[in-house]
Formats: sequence, structure tokens, C-alpha cells
Amino acid sequence: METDLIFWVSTVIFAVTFVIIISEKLHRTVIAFVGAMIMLIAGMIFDFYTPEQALSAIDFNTLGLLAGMMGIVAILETTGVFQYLGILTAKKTKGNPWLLIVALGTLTSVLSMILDNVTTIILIVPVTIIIARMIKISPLPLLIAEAILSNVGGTATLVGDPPNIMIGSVADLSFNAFLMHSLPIVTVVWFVTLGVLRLVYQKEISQQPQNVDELLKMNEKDAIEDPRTLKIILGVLAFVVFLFFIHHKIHLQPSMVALIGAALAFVLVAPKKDPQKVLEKLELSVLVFFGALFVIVGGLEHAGVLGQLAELIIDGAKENPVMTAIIVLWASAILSAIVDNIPFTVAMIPVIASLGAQGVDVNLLWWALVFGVGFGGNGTPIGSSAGVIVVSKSEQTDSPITFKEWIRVGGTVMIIGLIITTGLILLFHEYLGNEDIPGQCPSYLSEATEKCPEAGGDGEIKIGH
Amino acid sequence: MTIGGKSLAIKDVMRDPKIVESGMTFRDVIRKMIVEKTNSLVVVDDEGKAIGMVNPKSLIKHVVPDYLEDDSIAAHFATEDIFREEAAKVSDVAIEDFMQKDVATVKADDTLMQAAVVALESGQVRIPVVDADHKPIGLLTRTELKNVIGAFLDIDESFSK
Repeated sequence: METDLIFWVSTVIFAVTFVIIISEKLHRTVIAFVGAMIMLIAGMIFDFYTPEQALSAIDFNTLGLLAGMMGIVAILETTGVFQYLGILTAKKTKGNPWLLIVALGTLTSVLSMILDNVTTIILIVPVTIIIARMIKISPLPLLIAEAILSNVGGTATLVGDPPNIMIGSVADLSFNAFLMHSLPIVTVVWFVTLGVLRLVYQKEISQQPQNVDELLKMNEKDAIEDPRTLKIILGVLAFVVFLFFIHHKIHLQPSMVALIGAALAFVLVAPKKDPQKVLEKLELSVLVFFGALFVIVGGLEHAGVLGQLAELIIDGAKENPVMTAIIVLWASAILSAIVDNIPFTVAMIPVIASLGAQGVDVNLLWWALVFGVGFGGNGTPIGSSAGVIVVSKSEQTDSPITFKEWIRVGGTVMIIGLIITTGLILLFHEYLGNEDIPGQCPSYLSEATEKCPEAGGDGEIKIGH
Repeated sequence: MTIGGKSLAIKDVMRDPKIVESGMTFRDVIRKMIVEKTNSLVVVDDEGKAIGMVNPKSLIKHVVPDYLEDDSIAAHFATEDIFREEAAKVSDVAIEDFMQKDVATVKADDTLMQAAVVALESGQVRIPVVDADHKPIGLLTRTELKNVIGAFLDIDESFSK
């Protein structure tokens, strides 16, 4: 009786909050914050959730990693290096439209693997439009390629996308684990995506660029306004990437790596100045939104709802793990195409974690979730922040990106990407699902194992450590 | 405060506003500003009520495409041709679409200090003076406010137009 009440109270609070977030009637941060407080108050009244539990439900590893990288990027974006790289890359193509798609697409992909997609896109798009106008070709295929390939590239690494950060944090997947499992599949999908773009934009690609000598005359060095800061911040970034490669070996959480980088950047760039200006660029709204989601989903978990959900699928997951992974892949992709993929990821993580806590091999499911939410964002123009930004920036060009145009290209890319991923999961599920990832000791392990002698205890899923 | 025995109020120092009616195009507006050598126009609706203001900044903001607005580094590489094309694109846009809409105003009987504070708070350098029906009856600019301060300091050249 009592459990029933708790079950329904927490489920209703969760469902109403998520529906309002998805409907976008209120700002997502506001409604998530309110929902988190209601969940916590209900938890205290009905005795299923305490403030201490809510606090430990917040994954500070995710928040710290995001905040640290935001701090580094806030300094990096003022140096002009994005524009520098954009122009340099474009000049190498000599204005050939197809090579421009490949080159600028590669650049955004690579940058998105380490930096956040939104910053990368915001800074690459204006130079792209200027270059396209200069040589009188349509900027549309370039812009769509940049957004789509930025999403695909971000899927490859632990730090490329917020969902990856969250999944990596709970599943204890290291930076290198992503390089070994996610990167190979992303690489295949990346090349196929490029092939699709080539077919879809055959006509645009055959445009003859004009004023190419004007493009070649652009001096990319003009973009660099502050070489000293640039040198320092690139050094910091190189050090951060180096630490990511070894973070698991030296027992350093990814959030620590990012925060060490941010601290270094602050002290090396302008130690005497109040960092307020840089700190204002940390998107506090995003961080509060994530924190609130963790609290809401934590309430659902403590009310036993997610455990019951896991019960429902545990038999299927045990008997047919590959099928389960493929269902997770497609379901999360389709949902991520239609709605914000963050709330979905936050809700899915404890479900998979409780399967893991009950002895199911869940590594394959983690990767399926990574690919699903990563590739799903390309399905519609509202599926990813990068898509939303590119569409809005294209509005003032001569060829604005329409909803239909995006679906035609992005939808195709998403479906083909998912089909290929399905095939690769079928072929390589043993490799992907291999539990023997060096050093991996996820927090949801309920008992100590040979590999993780310190794991376990109360069997409670602790998100974060 | 009094100057020459007379108290100094907004209505004593304000200048006549240059008024345009809604419906004008970008091209007409910029021509009027150039011909009349003015940097600010108060926009009124059919009933003569102030609904907005146009100044060089609103013109510039409308010509510069959104994707360049926050990126002075990229704008460095935008050629003169792009500027010319963007200007041509907005030539026929109606004034309602590029005028500044949330305009801070003062009333004729407000104090001068209030006008000074409104100028600081709003960041506007030109403040329309309106009557009870929100019809523009005057304009305060930096020049007037500067002259007021000059007058308070007994500088003879203040208000000597």
C-alpha cells in the first residue's frame, strides 16, 4: 500500500516534469529545478528520499567535467583560433565545393571530439558563410555537413557530448575505452555520412567557385588577436588531452582533468584579473538543468520505480542481450531526434545501471545508448543544439535551411547510420560487450569482484562516486 | 536651480523632435536622416503616439547579418561586397522592423536629474520627451544634458546656439 503510493507519487512528479520539459512551454532549467524541489519535498513527506540522497544523486563528475571544459573553451574562443583554422582549411581546398565539405566537416568533427559542439559550430559557421559568399557557392551543404559531422564526431569520445560524459561517469568508461569502442564505429558511420552528403548534394558540389584568388588572398593570421593567450591555452588543452589518455591509469576522474585544465588556464592567462568575465560564460543554466535532472531521476530511483522497470526487462536483457541493445539503439535514437536527448539519457542511465547491479552484462547496452543518442540528434533540425544553431544562423543567408531540407538529409544520415551501427553491433557485439575494459569498476556493482575488490556494499546505485 | 532668475526644466532645454510616421522604408529613412542631417528620428503611429526611435545604430544593426553580429573576428574577413549586398537586401524593409522599440522616454515636467538618470540607465543617448498621450513634443540629447551641466557651472557659452 505504502510502496504503491510512493511509486505513483514519484512517477507522476517525474512524468509531469518531463512532459513540460519536452513541450518547451517553460524554460527547461526552470521546470527541472521546480520538479527537483517537488520530488525532494514529496520524498521527505512520504519518506522515500532525503536531501542527502538527492545530493549524492547529483553526478558531480559530469558537472565538473562540463564546467571545466566550458572554462577552457571560454578563453579559447576569444583567441580567434577557430576562425584561423576555418580559413586555413578552406584555402587548402582552393574553393572546390566538395573538398570544402570534406575539409570543414573534418575540422568540425575533430574539434567536436574534444570541445563542445555548440561552441565549435557557433565559431565555424560565420567564416563558412563568408567564404561561401566570397566564392559564390551555396553555403547550405557546408552548414548542414558541419552540424551533422559535429554530432557524429562528438559521439566518438568521452568528452565529445554531454550524454557520453554522463554514461562514461556511471559506467566508469575511460577516455580510452571510448576510443577503443566508440571511435571505430563512429569512423565507419562518419565516412558513410560523408558519402550520403556527396550523393545528396551532387548538384551543389558541381558548382564552379569564383573569385578563388580572393579566397587565397585571405590571411588567416589576421584572425589571431592574442597570440600569447592562444599559445598558453593550446598548451593547456594539449596537457588536458594527454591527461585524458592516462586518467584511468593514474586514478584521476575526467572531471578532475578538466578542472585542472581550467585552473591552469586561469592562472597562466590572466592571474591578476577577476575571472568573472570568463566565469559568466560557464553556462550555469545548463549545469543547474543537469543537476536538477539527476535529483528528479534520483527520486524515482529511491522510490523503487527504476528498479521495477529494470525487473520488467531483465529477463529479456539476460536472454537476448544483442536484441536488447538494438532496441535501446533505435528507441534512444528516435526519441533523441524528437526531444532533448539529455533528460532521456539521465533517465535511461539508472535503468541500465540497475540491470548491471543485478548481474546483467550491460556494457553492450551502454554503447548502444551512446550511439543511439549521438546519431539520433541528426534526425531532425531540433534533435541537437548544433542543428538548431546552424538552422537559425542560415536564416539570413540566401539559402536558409528548411525543416524539410534537414529531414531529407539529416533523416537519411540518421537512418543509414543506425542501420550500419546495427550491423556492426551484430558483428562485433562480443568485442563491444566485453566486460573486461581495463580498470573499469562501475559504481553500480553490488559486490566485490576479482577485478574490483573494493566495489559493492549496499547495492545502491551511486551515480557519481 | 535657476538660470537668469528662471528655473531650468526639461521643457526649457529640449529641442524639437524630428518625427517620421510608421510605414516608411529603410531607404527613405536613411535618406531623410542624411538630408536633414540628423541622427535620430522618433517614429509615431497613426494617432501620433511615439512607438519607437531610429538612430544610426538601429540602421547598422539591421544591415549586419545575425551570423556576424557576435563575431568581430570573422567580420574582419567579410568583404565590401558582402556589406553592399546586405545593405541592398534591407532597402525596402519597413521602419517597424528595424526601429528601436523599447524606448525610454521622459515627460516635460520630469526633473532634469531624472532625465540624466534615465540616460544612464537606458544607455540611450537620445531621450524623447512625450506628453500625457505619449505624443513626442521634444528630444533630449547629450548636447542638452551637457549644456545643463555647463549652465550649472556658470559657463556662459552653454545654450548659445
